Amino acid sequence: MPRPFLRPTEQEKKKFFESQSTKEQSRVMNSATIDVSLRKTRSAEYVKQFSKLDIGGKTWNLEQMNQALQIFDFEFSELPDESKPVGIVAACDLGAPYEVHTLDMQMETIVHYKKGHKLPSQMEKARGLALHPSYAFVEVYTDHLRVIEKNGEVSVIEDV
Amino acid sequence: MANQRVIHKADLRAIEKNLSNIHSGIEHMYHYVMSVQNKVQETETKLDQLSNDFYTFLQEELYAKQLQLAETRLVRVRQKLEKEYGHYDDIRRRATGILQAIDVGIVRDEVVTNTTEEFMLSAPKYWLAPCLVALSAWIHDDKEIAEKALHEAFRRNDQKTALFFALIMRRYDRLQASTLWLESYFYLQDVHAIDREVVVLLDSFTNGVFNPQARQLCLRQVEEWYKTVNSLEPDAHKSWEEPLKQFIAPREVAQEYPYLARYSPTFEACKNALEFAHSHQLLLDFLQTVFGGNVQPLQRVHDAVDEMLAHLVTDFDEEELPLRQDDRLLNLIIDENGNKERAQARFQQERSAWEQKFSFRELMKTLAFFPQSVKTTKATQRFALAFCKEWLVHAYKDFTAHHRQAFPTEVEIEIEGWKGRSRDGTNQKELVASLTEHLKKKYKKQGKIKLGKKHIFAIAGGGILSILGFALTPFHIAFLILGILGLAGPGWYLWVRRQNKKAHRLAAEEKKEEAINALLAIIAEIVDWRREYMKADEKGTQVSEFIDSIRKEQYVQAQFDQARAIHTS
Repeated sequence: MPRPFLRPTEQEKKKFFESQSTKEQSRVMNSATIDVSLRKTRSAEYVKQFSKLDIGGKTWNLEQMNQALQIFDFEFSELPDESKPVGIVAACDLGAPYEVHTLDMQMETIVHYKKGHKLPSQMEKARGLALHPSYAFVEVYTDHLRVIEKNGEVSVIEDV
Repeated sequence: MANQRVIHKADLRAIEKNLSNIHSGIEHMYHYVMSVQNKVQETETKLDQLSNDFYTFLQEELYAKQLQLAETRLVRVRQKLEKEYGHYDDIRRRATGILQAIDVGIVRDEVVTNTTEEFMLSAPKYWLAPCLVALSAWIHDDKEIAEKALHEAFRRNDQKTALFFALIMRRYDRLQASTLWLESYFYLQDVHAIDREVVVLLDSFTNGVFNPQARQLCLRQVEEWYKTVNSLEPDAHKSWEEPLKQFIAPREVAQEYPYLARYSPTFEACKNALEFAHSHQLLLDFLQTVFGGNVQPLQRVHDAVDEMLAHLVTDFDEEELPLRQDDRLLNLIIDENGNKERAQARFQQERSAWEQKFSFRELMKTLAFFPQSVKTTKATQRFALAFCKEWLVHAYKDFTAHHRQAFPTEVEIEIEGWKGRSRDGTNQKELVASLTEHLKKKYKKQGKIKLGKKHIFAIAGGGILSILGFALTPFHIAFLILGILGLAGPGWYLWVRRQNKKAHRLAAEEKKEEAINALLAIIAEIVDWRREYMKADEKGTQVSEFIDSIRKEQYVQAQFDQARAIHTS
């Protein structure tokens, strides 16, 4: 029986596999981890909370807002602040003439928008998707959108 | 009495007659102008038709020429392949021929030895020649020659040699040796630049050619590659969006929705949205075809290995790659009936299959979506799709969201300078009212007659004549006639104005009716278009469910073993 000429020793094999996880790997680790984390299916509680921003009327009281922010912080607890969504856009259930509403995570405010009224710059791009029946809401980031389905699964739209 | 004047009743019949003549002249002119206008419209339509026919003719002529050219070139490329690499073919055919001859033991050892040695002389750079010499020496237990030949084979192409012997060892049930050769092969690979023949390895793996131990090794290696790629490129799935575009097929949306095509500036977006929505069904059909039915396995492991060996030695020699690329492109042009653009777009999609080295990401993409370009089996296609299910899910979701974002929530409408928009046709009443108002204003404005030179001349000339006539009447009764005649000028103008207004009102009514009907037709089409989009888009759920149901461990066959390997996901 012929023997392979290039049969590697156990040590060589180990070295070979280790070489594949090089410095490059550690360099991209942070952004990779963030991306993987943001891809994770959102929790049912989070989806429920943020797909119904109009529950209880047009505005939230302090208690409601605090509860929502707690859920939000818990959902993104692994992430640095700059990687978290800057806002959320969802379809509005208040009825005509209201169409969508936004939650500004920095200002911690909810605004309901009527048909034809423009949303603040980055959020306008999420409008159509927020109205799509397959999606619960859209998370708006500084440079991209993440569309959340009713079951919490995530789709990404880059370069917006 | 001498000063008494007798005023006779004026005879205006001549004036009336002339006015009537003018009237019928104008009416005649009006009808004439209308008929000319109709003819112009008719000619325009015919001209459009003619230009379309001419364009189609030119297109067909071009496709026919390109088809003919591709067929001629294909013959030339194949001749070149035959001329430059034809002698390899002989060696390739004999590789499996030797193995089968040895199996049945009807060829003398000397013949096999002589033949393989001849290959060494006839193909100085070809890796397969020393492999066959080593094989022949191994069979005749000539260790020295076997080792020398193996050294040479490794020098010429170490990776193909390792894979070749892994398969040969499997053929003779030298399972441990086969696994060792595989280990050697994997050791030589780099996740970002895997050799093309890895396709044969994966094909052998998914078709159950290897023993359980070797299969475990393969699976472990593929998983290792997958993990490495995922950790280095978190957006590895992005490149999987590209092949999904092939499921967006062009549709004759303009024929289905002619009013939308004519009156909506948003039509292109509507068309794209509809074409995208129908891609869900096409993707679902594709997946159902890939995962539906059974893969027909070969009865004996020998046959399976021989098939893989033939594949390895025939389809993966880098020297021939440029010519094989040309061959594929020309074949695609023939497939597309001469449509070079479409063929090039298809070729571009499977481009990675023609690179000398694969990255793991591109390799799996090629196996999943373009298996025909690397001639792999359905089993491997299933494996690639199932194994990289996560990439498929992410790519599909992102691809879908991206296209849904481009869906025009509101459709713009433009008729006769009026602009409106509708989401789902529920604002029909408001739109009709707005368009009616617009048309009313527009035609009212257009209905005013501008004073031409002849009108000014008729009014001013007639007026002056009339004033003069009446002023001079006391001097002579004949001036009265002049005065009355002078009235004909303004009278003619008033009459023309009335006639024009009447004609204009009729034309405006007609145009208004046309515009309103067009608006109603567009709204009806918006409703239908939206309904069709929604219905087609809902299929996306079925696609997601189908992908969810795929289990990667189901798609590695093990029909040649008594023992079954257990794969963990």
